[in-house]
Amino acid sequence: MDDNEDYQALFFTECGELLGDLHEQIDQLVDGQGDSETVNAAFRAVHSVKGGAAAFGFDALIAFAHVFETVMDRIRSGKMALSSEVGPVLVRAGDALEVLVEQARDGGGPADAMVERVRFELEELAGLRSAANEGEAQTPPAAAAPAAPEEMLFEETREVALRFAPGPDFLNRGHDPLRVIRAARDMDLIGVEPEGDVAPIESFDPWTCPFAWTLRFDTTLPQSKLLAFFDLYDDTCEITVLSDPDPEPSAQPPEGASPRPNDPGPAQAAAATPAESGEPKGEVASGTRTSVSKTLRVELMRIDRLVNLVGEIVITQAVLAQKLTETDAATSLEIGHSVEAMTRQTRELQESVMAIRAQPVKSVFSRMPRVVRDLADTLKKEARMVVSGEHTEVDTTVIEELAEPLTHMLRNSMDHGLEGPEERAAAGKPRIGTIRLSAEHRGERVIITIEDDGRGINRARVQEKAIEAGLIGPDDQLPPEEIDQLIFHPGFSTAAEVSSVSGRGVGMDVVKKKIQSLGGRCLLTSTPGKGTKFTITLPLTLAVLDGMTICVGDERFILPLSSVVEALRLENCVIERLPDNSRVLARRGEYLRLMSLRSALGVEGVAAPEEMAIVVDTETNGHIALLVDELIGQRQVVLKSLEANFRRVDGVSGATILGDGRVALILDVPSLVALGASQHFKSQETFH
Amino acid sequence: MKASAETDEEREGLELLGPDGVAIPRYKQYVTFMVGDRAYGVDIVQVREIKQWSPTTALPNQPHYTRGVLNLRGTIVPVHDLRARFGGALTEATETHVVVIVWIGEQTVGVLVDAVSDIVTVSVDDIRPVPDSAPDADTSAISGLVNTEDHMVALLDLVNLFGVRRDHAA
Repeated sequence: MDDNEDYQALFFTECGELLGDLHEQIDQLVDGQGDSETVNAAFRAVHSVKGGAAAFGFDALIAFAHVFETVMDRIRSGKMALSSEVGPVLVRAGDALEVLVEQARDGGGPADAMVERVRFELEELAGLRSAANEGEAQTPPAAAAPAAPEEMLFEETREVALRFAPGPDFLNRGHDPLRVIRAARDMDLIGVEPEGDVAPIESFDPWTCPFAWTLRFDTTLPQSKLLAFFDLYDDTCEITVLSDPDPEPSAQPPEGASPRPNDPGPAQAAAATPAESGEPKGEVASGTRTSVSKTLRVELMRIDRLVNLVGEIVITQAVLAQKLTETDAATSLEIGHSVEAMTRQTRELQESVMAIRAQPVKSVFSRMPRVVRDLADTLKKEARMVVSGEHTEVDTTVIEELAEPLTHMLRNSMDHGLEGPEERAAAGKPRIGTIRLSAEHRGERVIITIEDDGRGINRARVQEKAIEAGLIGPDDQLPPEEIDQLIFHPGFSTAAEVSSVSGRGVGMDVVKKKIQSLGGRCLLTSTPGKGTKFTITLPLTLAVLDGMTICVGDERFILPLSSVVEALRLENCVIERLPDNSRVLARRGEYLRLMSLRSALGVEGVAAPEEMAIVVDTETNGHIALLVDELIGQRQVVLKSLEANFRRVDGVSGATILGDGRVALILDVPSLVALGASQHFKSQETFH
Repeated sequence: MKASAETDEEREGLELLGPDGVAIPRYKQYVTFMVGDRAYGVDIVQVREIKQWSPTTALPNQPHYTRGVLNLRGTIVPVHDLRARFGGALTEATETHVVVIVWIGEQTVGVLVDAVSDIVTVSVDDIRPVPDSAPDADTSAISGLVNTEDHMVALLDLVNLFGVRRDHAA
């Protein structure tokens, strides 16, 4: 039983990937960018989902995938043009397939009206439903289709023998022959005979399976149903029918490649599903074999263990290097070289390990168009989504956390940002709104933007609500940008206009918190009448960062290298005092605010002269200069969480362990600046 | 929270009834330690290890009773000063002082005390409630009182003492 569950989990993981690709391929086709290879790829994706579904008997899924596949096949063979009517149906079919996969995974649920509607459309396209027999098609297809596979069972059992020979890629793809055979027991397997032998140890290759098996079934299932079971592995193993007295029930009419248009009634056509699958399979196999890239599915946990270990090695290596400099060994050139080489290698090791976890944001982005389509439906708005930069790679840990805030921001844009078609037309905009979702690398960070061309933030309304909620005083004169940022405030509730879409009790503050907990930042710009743009910047990974070690008092801190602009010696600088007694530093004709880290962080201890100024980029308020005692050097640090055992600390994004085993805090420049600014006014915070 | 809740449940499950239907007294073990001349105790299942004091790294805007964070074999653990938490001055920590590493729910936290004294086994029935006398006394931090041969031990409620308060997190 457990095996079977594992096995299903594998199927659903695969489905997730296939569906992601399928959405993308359909989008390309609809945009007219796809070629015949795209059609083929989409066809194969649907086919693979169907094959897997057949293995587990998800009948509703099989039936739908079959109709979908038939339509794709007609497009592939040129029998149907990709007209402007076909495109949207395909898009909806992709969504419906996803719904069905979700239902299969979560254990059923009622038939979805949307799915039924889409299937009807597909059947029309497939020619299974013509205008003439519309009346006949009134039979609810839901009832007919799932029942269909049962209809074609044999009256009596017969013995069928199949030869199952795993190919060279079989194990690499994460398949396990034992599981296959165990799963086959559900289909009245009565005997298994292995053939082949293990190679002698010197030529033994653990990655290929040297055996093949003859499987004997005593079954009522038609041959096609048996073969369909192996569809999931069809490009990594060979299945040969050794003997089958009677492949198909005689009642079943012989089926051609595509269902005939005048086939009477949809039920029978749907029943033809498995019978047909033999035909496209040959082509699929030859098509994929060449394009399969060598991949290995590995549990994330194993990689995480590796990442942690490498993190520890980086620290130990730093300790070792530091200890060596304190001994006489440092004088030896050879040891110096070795240490340098090791530093370089550890770094490469770490980069390689991190690269394993890097994933294109596509896996999250590809889910978003569906969110927009669903919302457009619910909200009676018209919207189109433009996605770009989906191949930008980010650490898996970041990607997993992205889906929720992204979905929420999209909801916000769809609900509050975009206007309805009439309002848009009246404002002289195209009726269909556009939401752009994009990702790009900038330095050590990834920037994700969500931009709509809607009405922008209603500042008067936001201000009104903020006053109601007591966030600002009625007489406060806020600059427009600050009003916009109010929507991120925890107390800013949209309760007054709860809709089923964004009024789900989750505010934008949750989005902001989530992004911040990932070490990211969330920015909002809005132009009334033109639209709103959310910009999220995130670190590429949550595990390591390049930092500059600085010294303030007795404490050492790490400044992320990505925010450091330059380091200056104070003796070479001109420092001026402003009337409010704050200090500024003149640098190449501009003045930078000077901030003492010692007072911002409340570092105690001897007052060493603050000799260095580090110019940092605050991302929001331009450059400022931080006063520090000493600059120690540059190094890569492993990020450790403070939140895990304590809580979030303002001005600090995390901590790391230094060569001597002590903890150094990693500073977070933007929140540090806010901390420094509030330091003057802040009364001693009381805890408890 | 979780750790203690689970163990309480386990004990609940282990409750045995004697032949006369009266519950056989249940016992709990506490690690006791000293701060000045006062004794405190923590349920032994919440104690992960005991460590000699070593200098910590201070955090900006930390609570007055927090001494900063230390490196516990690769994880960052905050250290709180029990004396300061109960309104005393900060402990002048030396190498003879001890940090008791405890689990509070999912979190690992260090508690700085003067010295660890003993492990005591007490019957649950012998744990006395804290009298709510002075209105401003911080009684929520103490879950009960126990008399041992030498002195009275105040049992700490670690969640109320040092647990995360999400409202402070923002």
